Amino acid sequence: MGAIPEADPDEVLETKPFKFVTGYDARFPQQNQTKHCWQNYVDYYKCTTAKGEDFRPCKQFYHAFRSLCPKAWTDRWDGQREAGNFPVHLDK
Amino acid sequence: MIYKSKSNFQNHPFHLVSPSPWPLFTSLSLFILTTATVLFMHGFQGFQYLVALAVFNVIYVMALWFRDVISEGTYLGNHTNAVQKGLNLGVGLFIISEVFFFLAIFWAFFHSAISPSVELGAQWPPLGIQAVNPFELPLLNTILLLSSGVTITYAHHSLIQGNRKGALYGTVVTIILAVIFTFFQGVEYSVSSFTISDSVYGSCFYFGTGFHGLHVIIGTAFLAVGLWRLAAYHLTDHHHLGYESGILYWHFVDVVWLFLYISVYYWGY
Amino acid sequence: MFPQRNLGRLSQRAAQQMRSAPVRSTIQRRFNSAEAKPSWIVDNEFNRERAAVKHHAASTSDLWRKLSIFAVIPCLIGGGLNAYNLWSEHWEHWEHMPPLEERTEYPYQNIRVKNFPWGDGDKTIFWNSDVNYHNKDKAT
Repeated sequence: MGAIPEADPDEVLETKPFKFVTGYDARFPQQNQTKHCWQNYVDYYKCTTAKGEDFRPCKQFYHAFRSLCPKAWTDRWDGQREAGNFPVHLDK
Repeated sequence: MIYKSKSNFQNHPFHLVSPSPWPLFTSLSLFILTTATVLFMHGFQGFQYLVALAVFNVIYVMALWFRDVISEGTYLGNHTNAVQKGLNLGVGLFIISEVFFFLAIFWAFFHSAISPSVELGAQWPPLGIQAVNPFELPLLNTILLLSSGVTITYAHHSLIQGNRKGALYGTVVTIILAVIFTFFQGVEYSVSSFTISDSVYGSCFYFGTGFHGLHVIIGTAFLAVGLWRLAAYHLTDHHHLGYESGILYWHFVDVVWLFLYISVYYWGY
Repeated sequence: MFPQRNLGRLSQRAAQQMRSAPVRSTIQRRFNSAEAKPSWIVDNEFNRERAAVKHHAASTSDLWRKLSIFAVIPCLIGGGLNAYNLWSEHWEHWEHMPPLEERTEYPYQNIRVKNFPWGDGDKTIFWNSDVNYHNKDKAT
């Protein structure tokens, strides 16, 4: 994953086919990528909590967890964050 | 020697046991106990009374069986040196099986704790679970158990030396320390802010410490029987296998606690 | 020292052992021994080891007696005081925490699959309402 380039305001948005955007991460060398998905989900929301939703470097975590996590999992975690009982302090 | 008098001697040192109802009765009691417990846990009404009755029955039959073994060993002289060797081996193998029982419990703990699952937020202990401070009651309990190991060694060496008073005092103090330990574990359980149903942390915690507590209670009973036999002049300075087995079992329980203290209480804090 | 009824058996055993050990040494030992050692204890490996074990136990039991008094008692007092202090600190800290109902209940807490077969079906065995709380309207 290289640096994400600044958005070009003139660029025409176009829907592309799904692409697996997550490369190898040495912290998660096993076949089981559950925690790889989890870490990127946590990192994304920590990142946006600290830097705001528009902070572009947060996007790499977003792309990573979106391509790694089953939707049912992220839906459940979204629900927990809304209910205030997601089991990680995202502001610390 | 004429045939008649020859038949009154056995030319080997082994104990050929006589027919006894207790193995069958123990099996039946244990069968009723497991069946009643399963039905109770599946919500069948009134089965708690059968569970209680079965527990009583198991203990009662065991007491009768051990009474017979005590008669054979103490009064009938069936426990020769060769028989004692076999009994010792049996106790050793039993304790090895207990080691593997606790190994399985520790396996469950480490499986859950070394790499906590994402459902727990990948941390141990998970948020919302206030683990017990290991330097509070658990440290005192560690001291209590190690102390009981010292006092029971004093009692044992006193017995071998032929010092009846020392053996009695040492065993009494050991049992008192054991009862205090169980009491403090009860206090710890009742003021703990998490229960056995609070995540796999609670499950592993009470699985390990609960079975250890059960073994402490059994070990205390084992030592108490040793104390009674000491007081009743059953034991001599060189023949006290039941007492020594109780001490060995007690040391085993003590060592399990040390592992629990280090891994579940201290490392898992 | 020995009840009357045992005497017959003892003399029998002494006679047996005299047969196995050299007669002279047994008799000599009986006259020479300064201790009040029963005459039937012959000088063989079994009895020597047994005597050695007993002799050894005399010195080690004294060590463990001293440890029981001079190590165990101070350790118990120290551990007891330490536990008492931390116990008080713990409840001091507990009082400053938000009430049980206001604390976050995470999804993995108070797992109930079906009712417990006792009480109201919701309380675990060591349930203590002062420190345990089950929020039944927990979201997720």
